[in-house]
Amino acid sequence: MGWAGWIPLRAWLPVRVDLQASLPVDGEVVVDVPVQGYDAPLSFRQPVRLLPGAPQRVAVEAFIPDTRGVLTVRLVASGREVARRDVPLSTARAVESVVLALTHEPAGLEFLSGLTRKIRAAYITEEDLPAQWQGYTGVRLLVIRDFNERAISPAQRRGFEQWVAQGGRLLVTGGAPLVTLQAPWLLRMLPADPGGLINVQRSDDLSGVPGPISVTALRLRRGAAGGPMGARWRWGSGSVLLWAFDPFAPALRSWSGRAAMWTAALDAPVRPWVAPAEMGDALPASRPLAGSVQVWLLVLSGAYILAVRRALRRAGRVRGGWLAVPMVATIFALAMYGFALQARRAGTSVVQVSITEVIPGTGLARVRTFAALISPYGGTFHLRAAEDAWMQPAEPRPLTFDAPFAISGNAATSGLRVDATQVVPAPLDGYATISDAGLRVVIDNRGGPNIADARIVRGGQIYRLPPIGAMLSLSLDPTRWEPFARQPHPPDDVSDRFMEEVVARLQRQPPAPGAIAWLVGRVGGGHAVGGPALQIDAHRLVVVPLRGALEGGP
Amino acid sequence: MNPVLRADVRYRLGSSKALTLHTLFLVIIALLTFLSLPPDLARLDELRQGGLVLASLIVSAVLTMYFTSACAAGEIGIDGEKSVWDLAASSFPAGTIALGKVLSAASFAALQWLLAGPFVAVVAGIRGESLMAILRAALVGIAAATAFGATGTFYSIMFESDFARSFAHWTTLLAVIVGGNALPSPWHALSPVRSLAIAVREGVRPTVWLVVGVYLLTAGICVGLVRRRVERIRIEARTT
Repeated sequence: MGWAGWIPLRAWLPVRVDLQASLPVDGEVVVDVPVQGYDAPLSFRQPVRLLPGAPQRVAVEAFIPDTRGVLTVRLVASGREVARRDVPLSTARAVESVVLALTHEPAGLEFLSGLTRKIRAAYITEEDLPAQWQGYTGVRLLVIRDFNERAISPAQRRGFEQWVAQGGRLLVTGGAPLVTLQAPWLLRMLPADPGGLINVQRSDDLSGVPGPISVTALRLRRGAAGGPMGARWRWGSGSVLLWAFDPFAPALRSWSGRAAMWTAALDAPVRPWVAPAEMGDALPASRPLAGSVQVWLLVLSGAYILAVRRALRRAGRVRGGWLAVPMVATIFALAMYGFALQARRAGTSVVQVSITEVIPGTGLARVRTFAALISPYGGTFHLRAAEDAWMQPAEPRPLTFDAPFAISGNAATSGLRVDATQVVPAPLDGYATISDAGLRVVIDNRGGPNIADARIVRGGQIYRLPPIGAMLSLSLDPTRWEPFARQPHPPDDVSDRFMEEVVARLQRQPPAPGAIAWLVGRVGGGHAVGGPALQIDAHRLVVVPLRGALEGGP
Repeated sequence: MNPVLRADVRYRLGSSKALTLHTLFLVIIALLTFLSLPPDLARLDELRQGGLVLASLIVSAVLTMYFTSACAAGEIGIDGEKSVWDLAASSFPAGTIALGKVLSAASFAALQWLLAGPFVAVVAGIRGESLMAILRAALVGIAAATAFGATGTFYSIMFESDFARSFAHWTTLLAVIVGGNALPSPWHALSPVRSLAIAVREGVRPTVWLVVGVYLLTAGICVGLVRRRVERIRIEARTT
């Protein structure tokens, strides 16, 4: 369970289940995770088909919100529990994050347990690499030493690349394994071209290491930083680090400077998400019953009482008059039930806001979608997102995941908030140049939808732009910049509220390296979708870091 | 048709006191319905989804049980309606009187459930519950109210003192509704509140049928007791 038994809390991680049956089984593996404060568990289901005598390993993607209690794995067929295994969880196995090391030598990172932060190492093989980038959410650093490209699937490769691009930290180590590395797509991500092996007697970067050590000759690429012992650059929003030496070599495992070196790798700067999970708090949690609905119900109730009194009075006087009483009651029961169903429909809705953050130079964007299921009157629900958008509830509660993108359960009357993350292709990029005349921006949006209510954010000021179609090239008038200030009360409109949150966050966070300014805008406009069971209010915002036009590198 | 039943139904439908009673009943149910509408009310943990439908059904059931038994026991007098004492002096056979009075209690209970239907339907509709839950609750509620009505009819002829009658009536109500609920499982299902909750949440299970059977048997026993009591009153009247 987890990464070598380590469990980064609330991060997606694999639960591997080994199965063997003496009879054919067509059912599902269910992983039940305890949720503090609830009797019912959080369940993750995965269909499975077992043949007699054929062992099978199933990996169920799950997340564990708390390591108190017992995790239960069940094999269920035709609604009947066929097998069950309880796995006690331990708080000692809960970690902040893990370092995954893809190496044939599973040793050398033990010193991590001496760090103040609870980061632990897990030595993995190629088959352990997640097939979706969200599978890396609990991973602080991925270290690649021995890598066989043929041992991974195209999905694993895509997940790997997307994870680094959206903000992951990758470290590729040097020495003999780097010289024989055969994966062109991985070599393309490196900040330096690896050459042959050379022996180094003594290096200033590795002072104190007993020489000679075998290192890989590195030729830095344009846009990369570093020296002969290591190179680094940004890959999208992530970071790629290349060391010329092999930190798993015996001479470096006992080197006194290794902790500082690894700490620097663990803290390699990556671009944080503009839309952190807390931003979802700006979503509405309830929607009051419309006054008009209450008035109509009052009118119907009054009409019913009057009609029934009339029918009752008549029933006592006219022969067969009693028949009017059940007739009036039945007609009003059906009318009022139908009215109540309509009121329920009006009160039940999904409000979702997607914030698309363009990753410059990659043609990709990372998207975080905040969705609130407002169900003041409860009921069951099924929520299904795109297959590459993995969802998590904002607060752990008993739900059933048929896949990381499909949730069902009983809607909480206090509302249910889920966050979904995905990486999508984004044909949008932007550049900015500063001259004596001011700021000039170029927005390339060929193939993308129009951007409305666009504004440039820079240094606590905003500049409103006209709607952006396929292309926009504009010199900004220095007199039209406005200071940004939050409104005393959050705007009523959900889209405006999130726009304000995003701009406030961009103003707070340090400028992204290489980004001169930010473009923030609305895509598609807020729209309401009337479904058969509920109403969906969907809003999309887009955020683009505007880079210097002449900036090199990926 | 039973002449006692026919006369009672006429008065319990359209007399001015009956109209006031039905209106009061509907106003109470309507108020409860409106109180259950604000979405924030359902955010309290103890009122989870479906809980308000059950609460609404229980209130309807308890009110129906009270009004049915109170009318039968003479605690609430319906103008024009003859008591068992009055009917004992008539030429109707004792069995007709006893059966007619218990059937009029059953029809009164059914009428009140019918009248409450539209308001319970609003609560059920807005909470996404099926109308079948109301029908299942009505099965238990009408049977229980009939049993209480039959018991009230028996008390009306058993106790001459108003105080003794009211005391016996209230003691029975509390003993069955509250006391029954305090019994250990599975006997607690004898409480109409408990069996109604089972019928709504789990469907009409054998337990529910058994409890409904017990209520109807109680009503049947009361028919026999009232009949014997009427016959005795007539014998006593002839001998004095």
